[in-house]
Amino acid sequence: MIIAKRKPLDEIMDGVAGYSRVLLAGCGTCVAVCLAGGEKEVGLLSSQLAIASELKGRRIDLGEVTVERQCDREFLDELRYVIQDYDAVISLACGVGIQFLADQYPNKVILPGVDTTFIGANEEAGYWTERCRMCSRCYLAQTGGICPITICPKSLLNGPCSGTREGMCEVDPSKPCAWAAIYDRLEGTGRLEHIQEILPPRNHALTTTPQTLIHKAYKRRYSVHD
Amino acid sequence: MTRFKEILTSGKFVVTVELDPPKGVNTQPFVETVNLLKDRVDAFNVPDNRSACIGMSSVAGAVLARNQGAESICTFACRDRNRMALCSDLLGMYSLGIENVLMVTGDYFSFGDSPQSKPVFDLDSVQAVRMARELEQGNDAGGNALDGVPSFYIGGVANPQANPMAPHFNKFLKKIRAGVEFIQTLDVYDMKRLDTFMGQAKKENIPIIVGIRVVDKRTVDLQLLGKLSGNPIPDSWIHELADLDERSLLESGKRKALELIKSVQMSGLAAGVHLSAGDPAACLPEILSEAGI
Repeated sequence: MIIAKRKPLDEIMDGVAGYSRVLLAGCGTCVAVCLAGGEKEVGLLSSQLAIASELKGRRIDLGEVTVERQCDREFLDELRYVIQDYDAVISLACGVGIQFLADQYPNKVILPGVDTTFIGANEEAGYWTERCRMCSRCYLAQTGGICPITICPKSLLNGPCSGTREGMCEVDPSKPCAWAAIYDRLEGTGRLEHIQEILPPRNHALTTTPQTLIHKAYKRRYSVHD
Repeated sequence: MTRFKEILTSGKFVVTVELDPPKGVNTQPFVETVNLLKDRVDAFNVPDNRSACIGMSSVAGAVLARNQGAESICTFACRDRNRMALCSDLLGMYSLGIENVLMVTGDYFSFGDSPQSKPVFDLDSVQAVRMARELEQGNDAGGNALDGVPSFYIGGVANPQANPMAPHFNKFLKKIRAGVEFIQTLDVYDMKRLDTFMGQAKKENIPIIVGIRVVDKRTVDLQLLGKLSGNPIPDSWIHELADLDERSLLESGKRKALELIKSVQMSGLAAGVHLSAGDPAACLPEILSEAGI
């Protein structure tokens, strides 16, 4: 899922400095799970903004709303009648949701309330780790289910750098070296031949932004041809 | 054939010296060090933003050293340039008369002085070596034909103290398959581990030049701050060094470097030594004399 973290309160306060009616819009999916922008975080931010504004002698009318997903127009339609009462909206969705909300309501000021950080896994309560860089060409079959693009800070494809220290990463000694882990996994499953050949350079043309994906079953609908 | 290749393939015990190009445009100290040492060593390695610290380009440094009559080995780090920039700089380097290349991945930015830089790492060192070999075949990284082809003497890096060794050795073999013709190692402190690596690497029949650092106060400080890239100074020694004043610490560093050079000379397994020092002009002449070089 997408992991995000709440922006510092001061930055959010600066963003809404010129507005007196502000809607806080949460998202009930990824950012709710990672405790950055769900219904509870909307409530918390609302209280913080109210107190901070009061202390500065400012008055802001704050509204709160949380939709199922801000990355889906169907759910953004629900905001149609709420949003018209506000000058600005702080979206606590990921960067996708924030942009989608701004697209849907182009005459409103839409401001980010979170910094979107990575695609990750839920390790334990309140603890997430990055696992995928969305490179559009998955190497996990060759690398034993451990992604060198993501887990190695240098995204090396042909083995570790010379900085591995006792099996740990030189860049962050608290983390295992991706290539030491890949080697162990492949050795343990009898697949070392997968990393004996030289992997060619990545095709970065696959990740030219912004990307679009249309499922093959829908190509006729959108007049897209191979 | 480059002069360095001739020397290395002749079987002579070679000495290379790491020499940082200036941080800035004052080339005088760099040139003076080249002139002080050039008749006593076989080549100068010119690092490419060593330890992720910004400095003058390695190509410019290599040309400056060559202009003094010295042999240069120009480092190319994959950290800062994509495949297009690596290609164009390799072609430019060759056209300026430098053919010795050391292809490295490059230390991460967290060790350097510009930690907010964008990591490039478009290619890894294995892929970069293969790309340079493709240039020699007349093709650039996009498979497009070149008008006039270069010829390089390409080296790579290995770490005899890598732990675990198996994945590292696998990459070492890939570098050889990609086309490296010589190896320069990271700084080595542990002769036992070096001997094990050299024994394992022997059948690959590639000249290996062993990295030896003259440890000084800066090296110790960087390690204590967790900012020293490459192999750490052994725990047993750094505790002893940390208590010394700057001068005594450097003396200890010089003694240890000399001891390691002699061990490498005596072992007969390595092609030579690659020396690094904070101030090569100040401490290498004495060490070279004592080592009989």
